Amino acid sequence: MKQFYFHKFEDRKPYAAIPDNKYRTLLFQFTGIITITLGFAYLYWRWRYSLNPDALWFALPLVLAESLSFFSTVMIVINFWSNKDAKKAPPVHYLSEIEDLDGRKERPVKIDVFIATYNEDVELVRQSIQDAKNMKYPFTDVSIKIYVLDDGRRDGRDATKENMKIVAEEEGVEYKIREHNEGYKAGNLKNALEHTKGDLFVILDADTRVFPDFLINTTGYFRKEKVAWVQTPQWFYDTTEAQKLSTIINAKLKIENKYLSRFVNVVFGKVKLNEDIFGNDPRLFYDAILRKRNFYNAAFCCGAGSIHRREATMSLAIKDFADSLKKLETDLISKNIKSNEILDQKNILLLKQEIIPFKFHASEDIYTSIMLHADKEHKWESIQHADVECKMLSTQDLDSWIKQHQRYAAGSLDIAFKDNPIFIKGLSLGQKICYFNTIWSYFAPLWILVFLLSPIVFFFTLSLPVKTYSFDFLKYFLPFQLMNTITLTLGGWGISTKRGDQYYISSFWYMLMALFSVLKGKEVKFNVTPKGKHFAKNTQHILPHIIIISLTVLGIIYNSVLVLKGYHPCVSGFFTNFFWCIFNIISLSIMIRAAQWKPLETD
Amino acid sequence: MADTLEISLGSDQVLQGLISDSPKLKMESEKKINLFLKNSVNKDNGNMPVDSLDKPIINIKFDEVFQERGEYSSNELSGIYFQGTQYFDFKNVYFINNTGIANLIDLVKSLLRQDVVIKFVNVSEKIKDKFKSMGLEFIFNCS
Repeated sequence: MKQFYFHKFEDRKPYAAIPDNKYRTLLFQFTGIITITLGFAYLYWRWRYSLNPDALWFALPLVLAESLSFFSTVMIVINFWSNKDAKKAPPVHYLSEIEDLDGRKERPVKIDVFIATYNEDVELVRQSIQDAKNMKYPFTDVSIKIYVLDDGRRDGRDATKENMKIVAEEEGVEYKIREHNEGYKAGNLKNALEHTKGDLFVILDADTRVFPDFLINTTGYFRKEKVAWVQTPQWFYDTTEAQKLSTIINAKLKIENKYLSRFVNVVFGKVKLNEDIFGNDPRLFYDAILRKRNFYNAAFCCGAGSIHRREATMSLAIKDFADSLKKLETDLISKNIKSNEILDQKNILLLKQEIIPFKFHASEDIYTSIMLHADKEHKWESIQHADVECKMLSTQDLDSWIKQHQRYAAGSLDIAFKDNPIFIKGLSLGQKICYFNTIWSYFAPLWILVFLLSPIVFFFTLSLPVKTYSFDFLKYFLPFQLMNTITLTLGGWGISTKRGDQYYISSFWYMLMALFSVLKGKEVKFNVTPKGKHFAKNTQHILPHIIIISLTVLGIIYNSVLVLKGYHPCVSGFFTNFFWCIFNIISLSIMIRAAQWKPLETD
Repeated sequence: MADTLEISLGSDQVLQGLISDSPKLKMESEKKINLFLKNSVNKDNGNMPVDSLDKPIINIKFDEVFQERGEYSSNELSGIYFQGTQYFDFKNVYFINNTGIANLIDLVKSLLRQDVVIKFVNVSEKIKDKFKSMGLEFIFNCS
């Protein structure tokens, strides 16, 4: 068996979902309301009384950034407002358990499992196939078919490529290809749906390895006929391990002297670094953000690790198909085109138009989810399942991480500019807010940039954005920040957010680039996330971070000299900005560490 | 293009509940289509010789028309081809799901490429309503 780097993590166990607690929810709602109230009070004071009229060029962008950031806080409080896990149900056996037979003959349900692949190592895909084959189901007459959907067309035609088809045949599963890559993954799934007939279908990526109880724990939800899909958490089991600082020093300096090595161990032995260095752990997202959207029926599909009702997916595809033809007809009628020409044009479009179950888009999952939620006729529901039912591989180098996250950002922003959920009819207010929240989060680099640059501007211009850093400032700012921290802690109870917070700040540059790219109208491409390690030099990715940290440090040194010599016009401002800078530097430095990270030779 | 076509549709997910296995039912369907056509022709084209409608129906394998789709069962939808129009009898179709509708759209497109128009006859009100609710009433020519 081929050895992969992740084999040493095979024994890792997934986290247990945070148990629901109504008292904690109530406390969160209480602190959330206080936080919002204090936030409004703080911003009222900031806009009304605190702006420095002599430096409005500085004061206004900062207060605007603070206001936008506060809006994010409000959105988060709404997102986390309550929890409503769907009721679990036993796995389904017969078709009548998931849909109205309407006079048809009863039969056992059929389930398809799609493993989408493009260029991943065939032996890696083999492991996903084998795990899919190991899924248990209590009813032997339920058909469970596994399909490898190979968009890389590795069926032996190209001798330079590995042969995926042979692996599929060896494993006794179906193998499907198409002769083009139109629509990327969504197109691949479309092709699969055209050639299969499962009542339910599971979507897996090439590296998604399902646990044996995946189907047992998820199909029961479909007893409710409105449920269109169930998403399970994506758990990355290969995130980097915490390393002892002493081990890192020994390995980097190649210390061979056992006494020196022992000394380093004694001094630094308890300090650990580099745990999940790429901030890949998505637990906060799945176990808090997405799970709490169950309350609004707004949990969206994230692709791999989800199971879908075919009828729901197809209903959207047909609706889109019919709508586009209807739109054309309306346009032609409005242009007073003759009826026979209308018919001709309609027929031309009819032939061109395809039935597309998943939107052909870089963010096909969220886009399709929005449209299914907006279907007024069917009122489809989604479920974010709390427990981990599969494991996946995370990005293992900064370059891959950036590409993946830029695709998420650009995809979501593209939806915002082209088909903003706020204006989509059929979505409930809660759904609109939740989808808008996702999109809004990608605008964060705009105000994060202001927060990162503000101390530098202060250090080098000695201008204050506020009239003074007085007691008034602290009186309004500190209670708000304190309550904000308490509220967010309660919202993500039991989940470490340290790394996520750092990445929220330090990814500002890449998210900004994604935003500009969408604003410029660039097409959002579907880049397949590499599964493996690619330790390329990542210096170009961290140049903005190095520049900001350098300027910040220079500013601190310059202002320290001024303070020591007694020339500084605002010492309180210096100290306030100094502490602010420490936070900025810690947040930014994670990206520099991630860029430099490589597994130790001892690994 | 063959003189007459009979399109086999089917699979329990494509046109679920479609019952035309029984020879008796099938014959009735054909009679119904023929009656429909005779009425249409008498109304629309009085010069058309009625005898020409009684040609035997030729079965054409499903894959010949729908190569891009596979895995269909042997269930058949009674149909007849006449003067550029393919008629299908929906008399015994009492249920159709979304995958089935998607397949019908493919059917319409496939035949349109061959300049053949499709008409569905004896469509129940329930199925007509379903087509209408999905905005397909102008794609599917039903009566």
